[in-house]
Amino acid sequence: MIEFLSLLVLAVLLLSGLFWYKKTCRHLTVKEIEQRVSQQMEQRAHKLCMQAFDVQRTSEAEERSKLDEQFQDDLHLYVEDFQAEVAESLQQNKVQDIQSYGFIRLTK
Amino acid sequence: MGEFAYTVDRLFWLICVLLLVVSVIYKLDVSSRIALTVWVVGNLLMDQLQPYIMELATVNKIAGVSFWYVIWAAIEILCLWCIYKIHAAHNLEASKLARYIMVCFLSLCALQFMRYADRVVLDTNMLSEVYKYVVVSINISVVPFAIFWFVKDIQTLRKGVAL
Repeated sequence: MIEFLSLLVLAVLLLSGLFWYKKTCRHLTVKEIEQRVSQQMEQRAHKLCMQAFDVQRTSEAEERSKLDEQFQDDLHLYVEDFQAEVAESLQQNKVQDIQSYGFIRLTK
Repeated sequence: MGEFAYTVDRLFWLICVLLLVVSVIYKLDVSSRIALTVWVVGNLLMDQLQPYIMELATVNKIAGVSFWYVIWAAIEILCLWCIYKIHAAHNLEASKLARYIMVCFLSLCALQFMRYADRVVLDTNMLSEVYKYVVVSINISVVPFAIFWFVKDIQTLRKGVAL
């Protein structure tokens, strides 16, 4: 009898531990996904930095305006792609309690 | 080998205390500090209680064995709950080190469950050596992981300062 009860108590303790561990980890998911996606898009981010630098360096007004326009377009595209990747990852990982990310609505 | 493993275990506990001091000096991630503090205090508590628990466990042969495994599992889950509660109370995100330490506590509890089943319920006694060395291995493993993530954090902080 004691053995059975002890085994039951041990099982309950283990399951409780698992429950609290899962609850603790839930908070991390969005930030973790954002970090993962930003690491994947690091090259594009670097390219954007170099583009911004080129815009700064260009003295000729017309060329500067063209480069700036291109930079703005690439920047918006980067932000949209980043948000789309994160939103997709949130859906794939079935992250709860998040209805939308950026301008993207997350549907069930 | 057994004594050596326990000596190394105690040494690694001291290293955990040093890492805690380092994390305070460098103002590293709060979540990691909380988890490491609970780990250090939890292990100290278990070390201090061990002779008393051993004494209580030998009073009654039948209930004593059950008491031994249940009490260790309870302390391990209590430590895990403390980490969870502090994170929940302050709305903190659990760092990788915090999650690893929680997994270590869970693994220790699972080990108590398996060893109890092996020794008392099934009476096979196959996990005797495994039990001893896995407990020590888990305790030791926290140090290299803590060092790895702390070094990463310090490097990230330095990059941030440079920028």
